[in-house]
Amino acid sequence: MTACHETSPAGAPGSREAQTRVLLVGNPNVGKSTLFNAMTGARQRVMNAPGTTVELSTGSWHPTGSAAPLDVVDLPGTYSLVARSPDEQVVCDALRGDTPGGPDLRVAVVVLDATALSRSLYLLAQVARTGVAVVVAVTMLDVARAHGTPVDVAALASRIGVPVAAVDPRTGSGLEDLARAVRDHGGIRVRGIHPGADTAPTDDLTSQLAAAEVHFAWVEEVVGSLGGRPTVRRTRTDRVDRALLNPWLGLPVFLATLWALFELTTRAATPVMDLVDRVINGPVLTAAGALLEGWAPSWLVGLVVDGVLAGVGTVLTFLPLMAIVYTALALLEDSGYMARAAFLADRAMRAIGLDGRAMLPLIIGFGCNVPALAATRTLPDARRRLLTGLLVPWTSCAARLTVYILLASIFFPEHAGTAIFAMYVLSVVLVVGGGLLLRRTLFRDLTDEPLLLVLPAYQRPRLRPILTSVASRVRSFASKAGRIIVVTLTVVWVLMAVPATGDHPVGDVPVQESLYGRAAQGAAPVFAPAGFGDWHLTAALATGFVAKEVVVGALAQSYAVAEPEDVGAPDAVAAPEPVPTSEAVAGTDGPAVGQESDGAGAPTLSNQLRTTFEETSGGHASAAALAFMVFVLGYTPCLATVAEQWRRFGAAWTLGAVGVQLVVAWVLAVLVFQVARLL
Amino acid sequence: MDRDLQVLSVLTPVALHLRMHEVGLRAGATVRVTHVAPFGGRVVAVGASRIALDSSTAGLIDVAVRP
Ligand SMILES: Nc1nc2c(ncn2[C@@H]2O[C@H](COP(=O)(O)OP(=O)(O)OP(=O)(O)O)[C@@H](O)[C@H]2O)c(=O)[nH]1
Ligand SMILES: [Mg+2]
Repeated sequence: MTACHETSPAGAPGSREAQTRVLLVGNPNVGKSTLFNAMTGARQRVMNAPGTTVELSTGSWHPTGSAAPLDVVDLPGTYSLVARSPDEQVVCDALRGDTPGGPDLRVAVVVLDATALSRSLYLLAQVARTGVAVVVAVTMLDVARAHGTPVDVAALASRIGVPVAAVDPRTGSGLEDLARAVRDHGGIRVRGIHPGADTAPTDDLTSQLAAAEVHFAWVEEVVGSLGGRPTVRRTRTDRVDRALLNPWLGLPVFLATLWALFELTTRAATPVMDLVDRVINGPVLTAAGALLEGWAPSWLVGLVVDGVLAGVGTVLTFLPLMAIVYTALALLEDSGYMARAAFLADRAMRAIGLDGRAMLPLIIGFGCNVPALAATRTLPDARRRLLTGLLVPWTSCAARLTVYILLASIFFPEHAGTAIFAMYVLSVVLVVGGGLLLRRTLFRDLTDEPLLLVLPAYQRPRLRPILTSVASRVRSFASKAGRIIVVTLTVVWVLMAVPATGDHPVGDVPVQESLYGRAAQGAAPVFAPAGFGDWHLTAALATGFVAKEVVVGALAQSYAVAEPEDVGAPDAVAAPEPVPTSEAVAGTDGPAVGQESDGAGAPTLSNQLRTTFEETSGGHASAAALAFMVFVLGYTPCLATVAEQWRRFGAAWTLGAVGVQLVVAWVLAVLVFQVARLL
Repeated sequence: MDRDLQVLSVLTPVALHLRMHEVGLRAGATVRVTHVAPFGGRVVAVGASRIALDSSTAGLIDVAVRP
């Protein structure tokens, strides 16, 4: 815990306006981000605070009548500058001027919640003590009025001696006043608070408490001068909570919410994703092909169509899903229900050493890992986001289900459901076990914090601000994660296009003759202890690194057989009962095993797979297939997940996680094979 | 439930103490328990704010009924 006091004084007023950086500081949920969106509109971007995984939004604000735009930063919410988490530390650093490329002139817009003045003023006192120029913006005045505790903004301004603007961030009203105050560089001195006065910053708790007492006394005085402290009154929110926090009604509603989120990421998102996919793979690819036709060499066509465009297509198919999940999360947050969900989930998640707010991302993960990583955003601090983000890949997403269905229906036709269910059980075990292990090793700094959660009042979500923030988040995903995906897919294409021997032209190579195929052959022996050391299988696993949806297709391609219908189709993904595909896969049992594809008696994928697994496992095909499923569960879910982790947590954590997942997956697969073949 | 209580003292571990203070749970404050959630969590009202606490933390706040 560190206190951040005594910053260098803010730059001299009067320097160029364009150099002013406006910092939005305030308690959680006071409307900073909404205010930020009202100020900047679409002119914003999301970035990480330097050296951290804390996300910051920066943007530029052109107030009417202002010559030059102002640079605005939306900071994480905090109750105090005695930082207890990386996010809160970021606020301290920003006030001290430690943001990248920061101009020296900083104005802190301290956002006060009119319904929680004491708490807000306490933070204001701390900010004022750093010596930074201060402007106050009061939000939630409408709510305060409705509660019968209106706040007299003019009285507040004259009492504290710095400019105060009454704003409603949702409508943008009051922004002109705020702009005027910011242009005048705010007030340097809050009346009654002495910048950098008394003792030096200290990490000692008792002296921090003592320092806090001084500020509390000031807060009491200010609140007192404004007409006394508010009394507790029963509100509409209390009446709603009577139902939603009730043991009998609250838990079912909570579970229904989780279920709805899961459905959104699977059933609802799939048709949209398919549509985008069809457009990319249909008209767009055809058009690109036609454009290149005639003049471009075949390798260039391949590079553009199968490399770059395939990558862009992958990114685009994720966009609707990301937008849907972001919107759902924003609705939950905006309505105020998110905090209740965290409160309700707290007990269960605490038992496995996680925060109540980790429940949501993990549930979404069973639909798709990529938006689940996005959902870690709702956790209150960076370390907890990272911990949850590292566990998300072990939630078994719907794409992995396609592989389970294929193998389970071939190798466990009688018990396909059980085999698939076992994968989900293992998935939960991995998440819980991984969480417990990480908490005892790399995350020992995360103490078992008691729950202390300020519940916002319920309100009707506003569509406009939600859409603005969803759009900016989706854009940020597309540009950052998108770049990683496109580059990697292009590299994969090159590996598949370049022949390992001179017998084939570049861009027209059978899989096993390409560098990719050769690498798969080289890697195959690694999987011999797990019973599936075969290049068809390792090549499919390598493709599965890109996306699990394509594993089945890649297997079919490497055997040069047709991909079975159904498996991999969206209905199969979301099908509540995973068994019906067994017919399509294992339907044509017959003498065709191992024969060349030759019209009528064509070998089916199931026969090919059965033969391969029989050979590689020394007669324990089912054990090896089970091990293969376990491996698919355990290793890297997909390239998009890696890209999203990279964007959020940086290269080191991401690559470390990929490595650990591979090792764990391999060890588990070997274990499963070695044990199962004895049975 | 639903009665005005006066906080006498907050007995949380030191590390949490400051945070409790910051959100308004400090000696002398008037609070009210508005909800008891599943598994014993409590929602405590301080002014217009509602603060959710797990059951053990809530148990560390010493209160008396306000006359
Ligand atoms: N009624 C009302 N609601 C507001 C006002 N200002 C913001 N809100 C709502 O308050 C909620 C929280 O706003 P955010 O902008 O996300 O708050 P924040 O300060 O960025 O919160 P953190 O990022 O968690 O610190 C949103 O649902 C807003 O629509 C206001 O003046 N009146
Ligand atoms: Mg915010």
